[in-house]
Amino acid sequence: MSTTATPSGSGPREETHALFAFRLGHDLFLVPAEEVVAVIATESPAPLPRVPVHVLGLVNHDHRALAVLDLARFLGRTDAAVGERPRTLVLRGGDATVGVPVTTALGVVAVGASAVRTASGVFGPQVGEVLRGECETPHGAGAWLDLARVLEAARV
Amino acid sequence: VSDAESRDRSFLVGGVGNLGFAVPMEDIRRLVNAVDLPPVHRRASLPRLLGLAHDAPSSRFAEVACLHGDTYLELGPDVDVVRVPRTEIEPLPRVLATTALRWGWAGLLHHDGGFRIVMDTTWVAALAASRGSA
Repeated sequence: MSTTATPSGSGPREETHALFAFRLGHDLFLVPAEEVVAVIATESPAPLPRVPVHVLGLVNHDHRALAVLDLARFLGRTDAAVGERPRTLVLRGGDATVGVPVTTALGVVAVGASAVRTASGVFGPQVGEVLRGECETPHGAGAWLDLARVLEAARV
Repeated sequence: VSDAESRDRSFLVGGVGNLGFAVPMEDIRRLVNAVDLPPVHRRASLPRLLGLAHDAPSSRFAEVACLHGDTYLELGPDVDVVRVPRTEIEPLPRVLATTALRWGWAGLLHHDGGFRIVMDTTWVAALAASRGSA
């Protein structure tokens, strides 16, 4: 995880986290910036048989097959159709790399440790299971996801 | 056999568009039309396994080189043979590992602008159901 200690006035240095912010529908999510491999244009995946609905299919990325997941659906947040997501994040968590179409890719934000709260439940129970914390960011309150746990849970 | 040829593998590929299947040629004894199938045989349908639309009456069939004998894979009407460098056969993405194991998906090829799932022929042949009467 990318963390740095930054001065906060004349007081003690506060640890900050470099997190990548994105929206799925109206919900704001964050993952460690170093786990975002690329941001690419969303293309229609080749649908696969025999897989749950959160697996949208395969696309080519960097001359390799990339599995594309509907993260909003997997996390029980279904207020945005996939067709409304013009960008796809290529995310690497644990030993898996996946594509996740997002409504908006907002970019990297620095979040101070003091801006991270424990889960309040506002993002729902499925998000709660893979949550590192809730953060206040310039884009609003967001859910900081433990990506390795998300991808482990999303395996099919 | 040249070094280049030994680094290649040949596959029967089927399906149209962005998804289809590939069967290693070394697992296939011969290709036949529906009218040439023996009266009694065992059969599994690859288009059906993968949920692909296909025109059953014009399907072609591959006889599998397996111990059972008279075991055929239905391929659908759109079949091609391609030679692929071994380096271009890639594993399924890790997030799909369990599904791949469960459904006999052994790898992926890129063909005709889409993906072709390399099938584990032994696994598919084990699903073959008897047709005809002795």
